[in-house]
Amino acid sequence: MNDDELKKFLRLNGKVAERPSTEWVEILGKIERDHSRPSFFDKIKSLNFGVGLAGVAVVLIVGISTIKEEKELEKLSRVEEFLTEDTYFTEVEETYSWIR
Amino acid sequence: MQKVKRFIFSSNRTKNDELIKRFKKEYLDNEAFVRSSIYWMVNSNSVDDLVQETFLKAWRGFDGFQDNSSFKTWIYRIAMNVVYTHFQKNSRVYETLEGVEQSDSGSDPEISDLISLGLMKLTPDQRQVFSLHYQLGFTYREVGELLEISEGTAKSRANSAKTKFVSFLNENGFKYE
Repeated sequence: MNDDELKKFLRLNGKVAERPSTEWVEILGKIERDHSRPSFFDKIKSLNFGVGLAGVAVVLIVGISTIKEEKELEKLSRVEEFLTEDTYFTEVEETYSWIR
Repeated sequence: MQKVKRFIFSSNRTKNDELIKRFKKEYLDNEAFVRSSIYWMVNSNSVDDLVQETFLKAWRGFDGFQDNSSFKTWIYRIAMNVVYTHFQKNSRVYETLEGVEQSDSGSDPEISDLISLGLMKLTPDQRQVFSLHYQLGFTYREVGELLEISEGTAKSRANSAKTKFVSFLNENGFKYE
């Protein structure tokens, strides 16, 4: 079989590659799927979110600790206040003022 | 098509109208060639999917396409990269020839299937040259340019592919008259 005969024989194959009518819609679907898929930067963003979340947790823990400390200080100051400014002894009758 | 164009317009602010017009023209001028090239390489139901993938890769890379080079050569290489990746992912299917599409058109089913099976007997490199030269009508020089090989290499590769293909036809009782 020479080259021309081979070409002629191959032309007997009636199959042709035709564009399906839905091609552009399918391409659009692929584009949209690609855009909805998380990219590298999106993943970084998620990572940042995680880091941010951890940061928030740290701030909360520090905050809670600070609040706790403040409450403790408040309690202590009340004790101190009680000890130094004993209203009981100042507001009560003078008869008891000798204690001062 | 309109939806795709609208999407491309809206989602690619860096690509200006001129670039889109150029891509559209170049792609449509070469679409049949791209589709046929993929079709003769793969010969399966995956053709449409691979054509779409080639379109997307070409569009995304069009910014980097050099004006002084041939769009046909450029997109053909993209298409063949897509095809070879497809072969790698589906090697088992192609080894057993399960990927060969069965005839469903009005053409002679025996001849169509015989051609499909004969093509799949060739290595992908042989099939590339065979389909470009014998089926798509490119000269050896043009085949060489498309594949970045010498004209002589294109010719010898086409000849060995032809020998293999014709042997397959003979083994299957086909006699050309």
